[in-house]
Amino acid sequence: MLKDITLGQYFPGTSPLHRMDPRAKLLILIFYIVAIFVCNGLIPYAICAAGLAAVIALSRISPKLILKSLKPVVFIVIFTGVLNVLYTPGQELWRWWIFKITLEGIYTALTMIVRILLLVASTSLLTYTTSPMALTDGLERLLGPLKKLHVPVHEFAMMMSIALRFIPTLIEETEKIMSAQKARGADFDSGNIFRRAKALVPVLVPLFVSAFRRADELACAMECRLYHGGVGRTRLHTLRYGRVDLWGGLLSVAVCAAAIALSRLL
Amino acid sequence: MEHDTTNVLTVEHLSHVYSPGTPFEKKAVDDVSFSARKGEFIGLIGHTGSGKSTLIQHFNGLLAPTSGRVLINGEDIFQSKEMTRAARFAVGLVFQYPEYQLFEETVYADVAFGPKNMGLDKEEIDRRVRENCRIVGLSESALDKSPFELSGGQKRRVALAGIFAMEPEVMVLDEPMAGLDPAGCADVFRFIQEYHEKHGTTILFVTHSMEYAAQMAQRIVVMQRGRILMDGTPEQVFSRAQELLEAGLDVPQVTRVFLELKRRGLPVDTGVYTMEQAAAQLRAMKGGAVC
Repeated sequence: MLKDITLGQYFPGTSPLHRMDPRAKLLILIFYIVAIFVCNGLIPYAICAAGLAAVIALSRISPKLILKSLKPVVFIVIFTGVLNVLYTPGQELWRWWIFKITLEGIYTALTMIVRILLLVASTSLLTYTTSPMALTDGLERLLGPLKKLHVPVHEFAMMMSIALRFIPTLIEETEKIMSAQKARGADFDSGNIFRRAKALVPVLVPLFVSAFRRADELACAMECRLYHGGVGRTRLHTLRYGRVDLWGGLLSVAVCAAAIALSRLL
Repeated sequence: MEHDTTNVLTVEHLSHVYSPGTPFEKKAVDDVSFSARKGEFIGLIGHTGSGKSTLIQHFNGLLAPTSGRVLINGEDIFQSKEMTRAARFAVGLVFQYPEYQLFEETVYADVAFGPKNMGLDKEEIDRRVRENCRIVGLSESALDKSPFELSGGQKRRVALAGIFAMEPEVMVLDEPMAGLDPAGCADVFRFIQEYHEKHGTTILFVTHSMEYAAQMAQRIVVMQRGRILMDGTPEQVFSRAQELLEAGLDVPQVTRVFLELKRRGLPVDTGVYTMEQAAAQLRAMKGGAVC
Protein backbone atom coordinates (compact mmCIF):
# COMPACT_ATOMS: atom_id res chain seq x y z
CA MET A 1 0.00 0.00 0.00
CA LEU A 2 2.63 2.51 1.06
CA LYS A 3 5.05 1.10 -1.47
CA ASP A 4 2.93 2.67 -4.23
CA ILE A 5 4.20 6.08 -3.22
CA THR A 6 7.12 6.88 -5.48
CA LEU A 7 9.29 9.92 -5.19
CA GLY A 8 11.96 10.93 -7.65
CA GLN A 9 11.46 7.61 -9.42
CA TYR A 10 14.64 7.01 -11.34
CA PHE A 11 14.90 4.43 -14.13
CA PRO A 12 18.53 3.55 -14.75
CA GLY A 13 19.60 3.48 -18.39
CA THR A 14 22.35 4.32 -20.84
CA SER A 15 20.58 6.67 -23.25
CA PRO A 16 22.23 10.00 -24.15
CA LEU A 17 19.80 11.61 -21.73
CA HIS A 18 21.00 9.42 -18.89
CA ARG A 19 24.61 10.19 -19.74
CA MET A 20 24.12 13.94 -19.72
CA ASP A 21 25.50 16.04 -16.92
CA PRO A 22 22.76 16.78 -14.37
CA ARG A 23 23.71 20.46 -14.47
CA ALA A 24 23.16 20.57 -18.21
CA LYS A 25 19.82 18.85 -17.84
CA LEU A 26 18.72 21.26 -15.12
CA LEU A 27 19.73 24.31 -17.17
CA ILE A 28 18.02 23.00 -20.28
CA LEU A 29 14.88 22.27 -18.28
CA ILE A 30 14.84 25.79 -16.85
CA PHE A 31 15.23 27.24 -20.33
CA TYR A 32 12.51 24.95 -21.66
CA ILE A 33 10.08 25.98 -18.91
CA VAL A 34 10.74 29.66 -19.66
CA ALA A 35 10.05 28.94 -23.32
CA ILE A 36 6.76 27.20 -22.51
CA PHE A 37 5.53 30.22 -20.62
CA VAL A 38 6.74 32.82 -23.10
CA CYS A 39 5.35 31.01 -26.11
CA ASN A 40 2.04 31.80 -27.69
CA GLY A 41 0.13 30.23 -30.56
CA LEU A 42 -0.36 26.85 -32.08
CA ILE A 43 2.89 26.40 -34.02
CA PRO A 44 5.29 27.37 -31.18
CA TYR A 45 3.55 24.90 -28.86
CA ALA A 46 3.66 22.24 -31.53
CA ILE A 47 7.43 22.82 -31.75
CA CYS A 48 7.83 22.62 -27.94
CA ALA A 49 5.75 19.42 -27.77
CA ALA A 50 7.61 17.86 -30.70
CA GLY A 51 10.94 18.71 -29.05
CA LEU A 52 9.84 17.03 -25.84
CA ALA A 53 8.52 14.01 -27.74
CA ALA A 54 11.87 13.65 -29.50
CA VAL A 55 13.74 13.80 -26.17
CA ILE A 56 11.37 11.23 -24.64
CA ALA A 57 12.01 8.92 -27.59
CA LEU A 58 15.75 9.47 -27.15
CA SER A 59 15.57 8.62 -23.42
CA ARG A 60 13.95 5.24 -24.14
CA ILE A 61 11.58 5.85 -21.23
CA SER A 62 8.23 4.27 -22.01
CA PRO A 63 5.67 6.95 -23.00
CA LYS A 64 3.27 5.13 -20.69
CA LEU A 65 5.37 6.23 -17.72
CA ILE A 66 5.25 9.83 -18.87
CA LEU A 67 1.46 9.58 -19.14
CA LYS A 68 1.38 8.09 -15.66
CA SER A 69 3.31 11.09 -14.33
CA LEU A 70 0.54 13.33 -15.69
CA LYS A 71 -2.14 11.54 -13.69
CA PRO A 72 -1.77 13.54 -10.46
CA VAL A 73 -2.30 16.85 -12.28
CA VAL A 74 -5.47 15.81 -14.11
CA PHE A 75 -7.62 17.56 -11.52
CA ILE A 76 -5.62 20.80 -11.71
CA VAL A 77 -5.76 20.67 -15.50
CA ILE A 78 -9.54 20.27 -15.55
CA PHE A 79 -9.98 22.94 -12.87
CA THR A 80 -7.86 25.57 -14.66
CA GLY A 81 -9.41 24.61 -17.97
CA VAL A 82 -12.99 25.09 -16.75
CA LEU A 83 -12.21 28.35 -14.92
CA ASN A 84 -10.46 29.81 -17.94
CA VAL A 85 -13.23 28.80 -20.31
CA LEU A 86 -15.93 30.37 -18.13
CA TYR A 87 -14.26 33.51 -16.85
CA THR A 88 -12.27 34.97 -19.73
CA PRO A 89 -14.01 38.01 -21.17
CA GLY A 90 -14.29 38.26 -24.94
CA GLN A 91 -16.41 37.22 -27.88
CA GLU A 92 -19.38 35.34 -26.50
CA LEU A 93 -20.23 31.97 -28.01
CA TRP A 94 -22.73 30.55 -25.54
CA ARG A 95 -24.40 31.79 -22.39
CA TRP A 96 -26.50 30.23 -19.62
CA TRP A 97 -27.43 32.00 -16.40
CA ILE A 98 -24.14 33.55 -15.13
CA PHE A 99 -21.93 31.27 -17.23
CA LYS A 100 -20.65 32.23 -20.61
CA ILE A 101 -18.17 30.67 -22.93
CA THR A 102 -15.95 32.90 -25.04
CA LEU A 103 -13.63 32.19 -27.92
CA GLU A 104 -10.78 33.78 -25.96
CA GLY A 105 -11.72 31.59 -22.99
CA ILE A 106 -11.33 28.40 -24.97
CA TYR A 107 -8.05 29.64 -26.37
CA THR A 108 -6.61 30.59 -22.94
CA ALA A 109 -7.82 27.32 -21.42
CA LEU A 110 -6.12 25.27 -24.12
CA THR A 111 -2.89 27.24 -23.72
CA MET A 112 -2.90 26.76 -19.96
CA ILE A 113 -3.57 23.04 -20.26
CA VAL A 114 -0.77 22.56 -22.77
CA ARG A 115 1.60 24.56 -20.54
CA ILE A 116 0.83 22.48 -17.46
CA LEU A 117 1.11 19.17 -19.30
CA LEU A 118 4.42 20.08 -20.93
CA LEU A 119 5.76 21.40 -17.62
CA VAL A 120 4.94 18.23 -15.71
CA ALA A 121 6.02 15.87 -18.47
CA SER A 122 9.40 17.59 -18.89
CA THR A 123 10.18 17.69 -15.17
CA SER A 124 9.16 14.03 -14.80
CA LEU A 125 11.50 13.16 -17.62
CA LEU A 126 14.32 14.80 -15.66
CA THR A 127 13.66 12.73 -12.53
CA TYR A 128 13.15 9.57 -14.58
CA THR A 129 16.57 9.90 -16.21
CA THR A 130 18.59 11.41 -13.35
CA SER A 131 19.34 9.65 -10.09
CA PRO A 132 18.43 11.66 -6.99
CA MET A 133 22.11 11.74 -6.02
CA ALA A 134 23.18 13.17 -9.39
CA LEU A 135 20.38 15.69 -9.15
CA THR A 136 21.46 16.98 -5.74
CA ASP A 137 25.08 17.06 -6.91
CA GLY A 138 24.04 19.09 -9.93
CA LEU A 139 21.98 21.47 -7.82
CA GLU A 140 24.83 21.93 -5.39
CA ARG A 141 27.22 22.86 -8.19
CA LEU A 142 24.75 25.15 -9.92
CA LEU A 143 23.97 26.98 -6.69
CA GLY A 144 27.69 27.06 -5.80
CA PRO A 145 28.08 30.81 -6.40
CA LEU A 146 25.58 31.43 -3.57
CA LYS A 147 28.23 30.17 -1.15
CA LYS A 148 29.88 33.58 -1.54
CA LEU A 149 26.74 35.02 0.06
CA HIS A 150 27.13 32.55 2.95
CA VAL A 151 24.22 30.41 1.86
CA PRO A 152 24.98 26.86 3.18
CA VAL A 153 24.52 25.25 -0.24
CA HIS A 154 26.51 22.12 0.54
CA GLU A 155 24.60 21.51 3.75
CA PHE A 156 21.28 21.88 1.97
CA ALA A 157 22.35 19.44 -0.72
CA MET A 158 23.57 16.97 1.90
CA MET A 159 20.29 17.20 3.80
CA MET A 160 18.37 16.68 0.59
CA SER A 161 20.31 13.58 -0.38
CA ILE A 162 20.00 12.11 3.12
CA ALA A 163 16.27 12.76 3.11
CA LEU A 164 15.90 11.07 -0.28
CA ARG A 165 18.01 8.15 0.86
CA PHE A 166 15.85 7.54 3.93
CA ILE A 167 12.41 7.73 2.35
CA PRO A 168 12.32 4.02 1.37
CA THR A 169 13.82 3.02 4.73
CA LEU A 170 11.15 4.90 6.62
CA ILE A 171 8.38 3.52 4.42
CA GLU A 172 9.58 0.01 5.19
CA GLU A 173 9.77 0.84 8.87
CA THR A 174 6.23 2.24 8.83
CA GLU A 175 4.92 -0.95 7.28
CA LYS A 176 6.67 -3.06 9.89
CA ILE A 177 5.31 -1.01 12.79
CA MET A 178 1.82 -1.04 11.29
CA SER A 179 1.93 -4.85 11.06
CA ALA A 180 3.15 -5.11 14.63
CA GLN A 181 0.36 -2.88 15.93
CA LYS A 182 -2.22 -4.69 13.82
CA ALA A 183 -1.04 -7.90 15.47
CA ARG A 184 -1.94 -6.23 18.76
CA GLY A 185 -5.41 -5.50 17.45
CA ALA A 186 -4.93 -1.93 16.21
CA ASP A 187 -7.51 -1.04 13.57
CA PHE A 188 -6.50 1.51 10.93
CA ASP A 189 -9.30 1.08 8.42
CA SER A 190 -12.53 1.77 10.27
CA GLY A 191 -14.24 4.62 12.05
CA ASN A 192 -14.48 8.29 11.14
CA ILE A 193 -11.55 10.54 10.29
CA PHE A 194 -10.84 11.44 13.94
CA ARG A 195 -10.77 7.82 15.04
CA ARG A 196 -8.46 6.99 12.17
CA ALA A 197 -6.15 9.87 13.00
CA LYS A 198 -6.02 8.71 16.61
CA ALA A 199 -5.34 5.16 15.50
CA LEU A 200 -2.12 6.41 13.90
CA VAL A 201 -0.56 7.41 17.24
CA PRO A 202 0.74 3.86 17.87
CA VAL A 203 2.48 4.06 14.48
CA LEU A 204 3.77 7.62 14.57
CA VAL A 205 5.36 7.53 18.02
CA PRO A 206 7.59 4.49 17.30
CA LEU A 207 8.30 5.86 13.82
CA PHE A 208 9.57 9.18 15.17
CA VAL A 209 11.55 7.45 17.90
CA SER A 210 13.25 5.29 15.31
CA ALA A 211 13.81 8.21 12.90
CA PHE A 212 15.57 10.14 15.65
CA ARG A 213 17.61 7.10 16.58
CA ARG A 214 18.66 6.68 12.95
CA ALA A 215 19.53 10.37 12.64
CA ASP A 216 21.67 10.09 15.75
CA GLU A 217 23.46 7.01 14.49
CA LEU A 218 24.02 8.52 11.07
CA ALA A 219 25.42 11.75 12.55
CA CYS A 220 27.77 9.69 14.69
CA ALA A 221 28.88 7.57 11.74
CA MET A 222 29.50 10.70 9.66
CA GLU A 223 31.59 12.27 12.39
CA CYS A 224 33.56 9.06 12.80
CA ARG A 225 34.48 9.40 9.14
CA LEU A 226 35.56 12.99 9.79
CA TYR A 227 32.74 14.65 7.90
CA HIS A 228 33.01 18.38 8.49
CA GLY A 229 30.87 19.97 5.83
CA GLY A 230 31.69 20.85 2.26
CA VAL A 231 34.93 22.82 2.75
CA GLY A 232 37.84 21.12 1.04
CA ARG A 233 35.81 18.03 0.22
CA THR A 234 36.68 16.23 -2.99
CA ARG A 235 34.47 13.88 -4.94
CA LEU A 236 34.82 10.39 -6.36
CA HIS A 237 32.69 11.32 -9.35
CA THR A 238 33.36 14.87 -10.45
CA LEU A 239 30.78 16.35 -12.76
CA ARG A 240 32.16 17.13 -16.19
CA TYR A 241 30.42 18.53 -19.24
CA GLY A 242 30.86 16.35 -22.31
CA ARG A 243 29.97 16.36 -25.98
CA VAL A 244 26.51 15.03 -25.31
CA ASP A 245 25.89 18.06 -23.10
CA LEU A 246 27.15 20.46 -25.74
CA TRP A 247 24.99 19.01 -28.50
CA GLY A 248 21.99 18.52 -26.24
CA GLY A 249 22.27 22.08 -25.01
CA LEU A 250 22.69 23.59 -28.47
CA LEU A 251 19.78 21.64 -29.95
CA SER A 252 17.46 22.43 -27.04
CA VAL A 253 18.32 26.10 -27.10
CA ALA A 254 17.75 26.17 -30.87
CA VAL A 255 14.34 24.51 -30.58
CA CYS A 256 13.20 26.72 -27.71
CA ALA A 257 14.52 29.86 -29.37
CA ALA A 258 12.73 28.98 -32.61
CA ALA A 259 9.47 28.50 -30.72
CA ILE A 260 9.83 31.82 -28.92
CA ALA A 261 10.83 33.67 -32.05
CA LEU A 262 7.87 32.26 -33.99
CA SER A 263 5.38 33.26 -31.31
CA ARG A 264 6.75 36.83 -31.37
CA LEU A 265 6.56 37.06 -35.16
CA LEU A 266 3.16 35.47 -35.71
CA MET B 1 3.17 -34.27 29.27
CA GLU B 2 -0.35 -35.05 28.07
CA HIS B 3 -1.62 -32.98 25.19
CA ASP B 4 -4.91 -32.53 23.49
CA THR B 5 -4.35 -33.77 19.97
CA THR B 6 -6.67 -31.35 18.16
CA ASN B 7 -5.10 -29.04 15.61
CA VAL B 8 -5.38 -25.40 16.61
CA LEU B 9 -3.65 -24.01 13.59
CA THR B 10 -3.64 -25.57 10.15
CA VAL B 11 -2.10 -24.32 6.94
CA GLU B 12 -3.17 -25.98 3.69
CA HIS B 13 -1.14 -25.66 0.48
CA LEU B 14 -0.21 -22.10 1.27
CA SER B 15 1.72 -20.09 -1.30
CA HIS B 16 2.62 -16.44 -1.20
CA VAL B 17 3.98 -14.44 -4.11
CA TYR B 18 5.27 -10.90 -3.57
CA SER B 19 4.61 -8.28 -6.28
CA PRO B 20 2.99 -10.71 -8.73
CA GLY B 21 3.09 -9.67 -12.37
CA THR B 22 6.08 -7.32 -12.00
CA PRO B 23 9.79 -7.88 -12.63
CA PHE B 24 10.17 -8.04 -8.82
CA GLU B 25 7.90 -11.10 -8.54
CA LYS B 26 9.12 -13.47 -5.84
CA LYS B 27 7.63 -16.66 -4.51
CA ALA B 28 8.35 -16.47 -0.79
CA VAL B 29 6.24 -19.40 0.39
CA ASP B 30 5.65 -22.34 -1.91
CA ASP B 31 2.87 -24.86 -1.25
CA VAL B 32 3.37 -25.24 2.49
CA SER B 33 1.06 -27.48 4.51
CA PHE B 34 1.45 -27.96 8.22
CA SER B 35 -0.52 -27.96 11.42
CA ALA B 36 0.12 -27.24 15.06
CA ARG B 37 -1.59 -29.14 17.87
CA LYS B 38 -2.81 -27.60 21.07
CA GLY B 39 0.02 -27.00 23.52
CA GLU B 40 2.82 -27.88 21.13
CA PHE B 41 6.15 -26.10 21.40
CA ILE B 42 7.49 -25.76 17.88
CA GLY B 43 10.74 -24.30 16.60
CA LEU B 44 10.70 -22.94 13.04
CA ILE B 45 14.15 -22.86 11.53
CA GLY B 46 15.49 -21.55 8.28
CA HIS B 47 17.87 -19.18 6.58
CA THR B 48 17.19 -15.50 6.15
CA GLY B 49 14.89 -15.37 3.13
CA SER B 50 13.62 -18.93 3.54
CA GLY B 51 10.07 -17.63 3.92
CA LYS B 52 9.68 -18.04 7.69
CA SER B 53 8.66 -14.47 8.39
CA THR B 54 6.28 -14.41 5.42
CA LEU B 55 4.71 -17.68 6.52
CA ILE B 56 4.04 -16.61 10.09
CA GLN B 57 2.37 -13.38 9.01
CA HIS B 58 -0.37 -15.52 7.46
CA PHE B 59 -1.22 -17.13 10.78
CA ASN B 60 -3.03 -14.08 12.11
CA GLY B 61 -4.20 -12.77 8.76
CA LEU B 62 -1.70 -9.93 8.33
CA LEU B 63 -0.87 -11.33 4.92
CA ALA B 64 -3.41 -13.04 2.72
CA PRO B 65 -2.17 -16.12 0.87
CA THR B 66 -1.83 -16.04 -2.91
CA SER B 67 -3.30 -19.53 -2.80
CA GLY B 68 -4.14 -21.98 -0.04
CA ARG B 69 -5.94 -21.67 3.28
CA VAL B 70 -5.22 -20.89 6.91
CA LEU B 71 -7.51 -22.52 9.49
CA ILE B 72 -7.83 -21.78 13.18
CA ASN B 73 -9.76 -24.45 15.04
CA GLY B 74 -11.00 -25.66 11.66
CA GLU B 75 -12.30 -22.28 10.48
CA ASP B 76 -10.88 -20.41 7.49
CA ILE B 77 -9.64 -17.07 8.81
CA PHE B 78 -10.16 -15.32 5.47
CA GLN B 79 -13.83 -16.28 5.07
CA SER B 80 -14.99 -12.96 6.58
CA LYS B 81 -13.59 -9.73 7.97
CA GLU B 82 -14.77 -10.71 11.46
CA MET B 83 -12.91 -14.02 11.28
CA THR B 84 -9.72 -12.26 10.21
CA ARG B 85 -10.03 -9.88 13.13
CA ALA B 86 -10.71 -12.77 15.48
CA ALA B 87 -7.55 -14.42 14.16
CA ARG B 88 -5.54 -11.38 15.29
CA PHE B 89 -6.50 -12.22 18.86
CA ALA B 90 -6.38 -16.01 18.57
CA VAL B 91 -2.83 -15.90 17.27
CA GLY B 92 -0.44 -13.54 19.06
CA LEU B 93 2.46 -12.49 16.89
CA VAL B 94 5.64 -11.09 18.40
CA PHE B 95 7.68 -9.43 15.68
CA GLN B 96 11.43 -9.19 15.53
CA TYR B 97 12.74 -6.44 17.81
CA PRO B 98 9.27 -5.92 19.29
CA GLU B 99 10.57 -3.11 21.50
CA TYR B 100 10.40 -0.82 18.45
CA GLN B 101 6.61 -0.92 18.62
CA LEU B 102 6.33 0.57 22.12
CA PHE B 103 4.53 3.90 22.10
CA GLU B 104 2.53 4.53 25.26
CA GLU B 105 3.41 6.86 28.09
CA THR B 106 3.67 4.12 30.68
CA VAL B 107 4.64 0.47 30.64
CA TYR B 108 1.22 -0.39 32.04
CA ALA B 109 -0.64 1.38 29.23
CA ASP B 110 1.55 -0.23 26.59
CA VAL B 111 0.99 -3.75 27.87
CA ALA B 112 -2.74 -2.96 28.11
CA PHE B 113 -2.94 -1.85 24.45
CA GLY B 114 -3.64 -5.34 23.06
CA PRO B 115 -6.14 -6.41 25.73
CA LYS B 116 -7.90 -3.04 25.37
CA ASN B 117 -8.29 -3.57 21.62
CA MET B 118 -9.85 -6.93 22.44
CA GLY B 119 -12.61 -5.09 24.28
CA LEU B 120 -11.98 -6.64 27.68
CA ASP B 121 -13.27 -5.00 30.85
CA LYS B 122 -11.05 -3.01 33.16
CA GLU B 123 -10.58 -5.65 35.88
CA GLU B 124 -9.61 -8.30 33.36
CA ILE B 125 -7.14 -5.95 31.66
CA ASP B 126 -5.64 -5.08 35.03
CA ARG B 127 -5.29 -8.76 35.97
CA ARG B 128 -3.64 -9.61 32.66
CA VAL B 129 -1.24 -6.67 32.71
CA ARG B 130 -0.05 -7.35 36.25
CA GLU B 131 0.15 -11.11 35.84
CA ASN B 132 2.13 -11.00 32.61
CA CYS B 133 4.43 -8.24 33.75
CA ARG B 134 5.24 -10.51 36.67
CA ILE B 135 6.00 -13.40 34.30
CA VAL B 136 8.51 -11.29 32.40
CA GLY B 137 10.05 -10.07 35.65
CA LEU B 138 8.92 -6.44 35.59
CA SER B 139 8.47 -5.04 39.07
CA GLU B 140 5.35 -3.10 40.13
CA SER B 141 7.39 0.10 40.24
CA ALA B 142 8.30 -0.29 36.55
CA LEU B 143 4.64 -0.20 35.49
CA ASP B 144 4.37 3.59 35.82
CA LYS B 145 7.64 4.32 34.07
CA SER B 146 7.87 5.43 30.48
CA PRO B 147 8.90 2.47 28.33
CA PHE B 148 11.46 4.75 26.68
CA GLU B 149 13.53 5.15 29.85
CA LEU B 150 14.06 1.40 30.17
CA SER B 151 17.10 -0.52 28.95
CA GLY B 152 16.95 -2.57 25.75
CA GLY B 153 16.40 -5.86 27.56
CA GLN B 154 13.68 -4.33 29.74
CA LYS B 155 11.92 -2.91 26.69
CA ARG B 156 11.92 -6.38 25.12
CA ARG B 157 10.21 -7.69 28.27
CA VAL B 158 7.52 -5.02 28.08
CA ALA B 159 6.88 -5.85 24.42
CA LEU B 160 6.64 -9.57 25.22
CA ALA B 161 4.25 -8.88 28.09
CA GLY B 162 2.12 -6.88 25.63
CA ILE B 163 1.50 -9.99 23.54
CA PHE B 164 1.37 -12.37 26.54
CA ALA B 165 -1.42 -10.23 28.00
CA MET B 166 -3.60 -10.94 24.97
CA GLU B 167 -3.51 -14.60 26.08
CA PRO B 168 -3.75 -15.96 22.55
CA GLU B 169 -4.37 -19.62 21.75
CA VAL B 170 -1.27 -19.72 19.60
CA MET B 171 1.75 -17.55 20.20
CA VAL B 172 4.18 -16.96 17.38
CA LEU B 173 7.53 -15.33 18.17
CA ASP B 174 9.88 -14.13 15.43
CA GLU B 175 13.45 -14.39 16.74
CA PRO B 176 12.52 -13.40 20.28
CA MET B 177 16.14 -13.47 21.44
CA ALA B 178 17.69 -11.46 18.58
CA GLY B 179 20.10 -8.79 19.74
CA LEU B 180 20.06 -9.68 23.44
CA ASP B 181 23.08 -10.56 25.56
CA PRO B 182 23.37 -14.18 26.81
CA ALA B 183 21.70 -13.35 30.13
CA GLY B 184 18.87 -11.58 28.31
CA CYS B 185 18.42 -14.56 25.98
CA ALA B 186 18.24 -16.95 28.93
CA ASP B 187 15.62 -14.70 30.55
CA VAL B 188 13.41 -14.54 27.48
CA PHE B 189 13.80 -18.29 27.05
CA ARG B 190 12.58 -18.75 30.64
CA PHE B 191 9.62 -16.36 30.28
CA ILE B 192 8.36 -18.16 27.21
CA GLN B 193 8.64 -21.52 28.92
CA GLU B 194 6.94 -20.27 32.04
CA TYR B 195 4.10 -18.82 30.00
CA HIS B 196 3.78 -22.06 28.06
CA GLU B 197 3.54 -24.11 31.23
CA LYS B 198 1.02 -21.77 32.80
CA HIS B 199 -1.40 -21.45 29.87
CA GLY B 200 -0.70 -24.51 27.77
CA THR B 201 -0.54 -22.18 24.76
CA THR B 202 0.72 -23.48 21.45
CA ILE B 203 4.07 -21.81 20.89
CA LEU B 204 5.82 -21.43 17.60
CA PHE B 205 9.11 -19.60 17.60
CA VAL B 206 11.28 -18.65 14.69
CA THR B 207 15.02 -18.79 15.15
CA HIS B 208 18.13 -19.52 13.24
CA SER B 209 19.91 -20.74 16.30
CA MET B 210 19.87 -24.53 16.35
CA GLU B 211 20.99 -24.47 19.99
CA TYR B 212 17.79 -22.74 21.11
CA ALA B 213 15.62 -24.93 18.93
CA ALA B 214 17.27 -28.05 20.36
CA GLN B 215 16.86 -26.85 23.92
CA MET B 216 13.31 -25.57 23.74
CA ALA B 217 11.25 -27.21 21.04
CA GLN B 218 9.30 -30.46 21.14
CA ARG B 219 9.02 -30.33 17.41
CA ILE B 220 11.20 -28.70 14.78
CA VAL B 221 10.13 -27.49 11.36
CA VAL B 222 12.92 -26.62 8.92
CA MET B 223 12.20 -24.32 6.01
CA GLN B 224 14.26 -23.86 2.89
CA ARG B 225 13.49 -21.70 -0.14
CA GLY B 226 9.84 -21.31 0.80
CA ARG B 227 9.23 -25.01 1.40
CA ILE B 228 9.24 -27.28 4.42
CA LEU B 229 12.39 -29.38 4.31
CA MET B 230 11.93 -31.35 7.54
CA ASP B 231 9.25 -31.60 10.20
CA GLY B 232 9.61 -33.79 13.24
CA THR B 233 10.90 -34.23 16.77
CA PRO B 234 14.38 -32.87 17.51
CA GLU B 235 15.66 -36.51 17.44
CA GLN B 236 14.28 -37.03 13.95
CA VAL B 237 15.52 -33.69 12.64
CA PHE B 238 19.00 -33.84 14.11
CA SER B 239 19.49 -37.44 13.08
CA ARG B 240 19.58 -35.92 9.60
CA ALA B 241 22.35 -33.55 10.67
CA GLN B 242 24.36 -34.20 7.53
CA GLU B 243 21.45 -33.05 5.37
CA LEU B 244 21.01 -29.93 7.48
CA LEU B 245 24.68 -29.07 7.02
CA GLU B 246 24.40 -29.66 3.29
CA ALA B 247 21.40 -27.31 3.18
CA GLY B 248 23.71 -24.68 4.66
CA LEU B 249 22.05 -24.77 8.07
CA ASP B 250 23.73 -25.19 11.39
CA VAL B 251 23.35 -28.08 13.83
CA PRO B 252 23.91 -27.94 17.61
CA GLN B 253 27.59 -28.03 18.59
CA VAL B 254 27.27 -31.39 20.35
CA THR B 255 25.76 -32.89 17.23
CA ARG B 256 28.68 -31.59 15.22
CA VAL B 257 31.15 -33.10 17.67
CA PHE B 258 29.39 -36.46 17.39
CA LEU B 259 29.33 -36.28 13.61
CA GLU B 260 33.10 -35.82 13.71
CA LEU B 261 33.50 -38.67 16.20
CA LYS B 262 31.57 -40.94 13.87
CA ARG B 263 33.66 -39.84 10.90
CA ARG B 264 36.75 -40.82 12.88
CA GLY B 265 35.32 -44.27 13.40
CA LEU B 266 33.63 -44.24 16.79
CA PRO B 267 30.31 -46.13 16.85
CA VAL B 268 28.23 -43.15 18.10
CA ASP B 269 24.64 -42.20 17.39
CA THR B 270 24.70 -38.75 15.74
CA GLY B 271 21.08 -37.96 16.68
CA VAL B 272 22.18 -36.29 19.95
CA TYR B 273 21.39 -32.65 20.40
CA THR B 274 21.78 -31.91 24.11
CA MET B 275 24.73 -32.15 26.47
CA GLU B 276 22.86 -34.61 28.71
CA GLN B 277 22.27 -37.05 25.87
CA ALA B 278 25.86 -36.73 24.77
CA ALA B 279 27.16 -37.38 28.26
CA ALA B 280 24.87 -40.39 28.68
CA GLN B 281 26.01 -41.86 25.40
CA LEU B 282 29.69 -41.36 26.14
CA ARG B 283 29.25 -42.89 29.60
CA ALA B 284 27.46 -45.90 28.10
CA MET B 285 30.27 -46.30 25.58
CA LYS B 286 32.92 -46.08 28.25
CA GLY B 287 31.11 -48.80 30.22
CA GLY B 288 30.78 -50.99 27.14
CA ALA B 289 34.32 -50.41 25.97
CA VAL B 290 35.80 -52.31 28.93
CA CYS B 291 35.68 -55.54 26.94
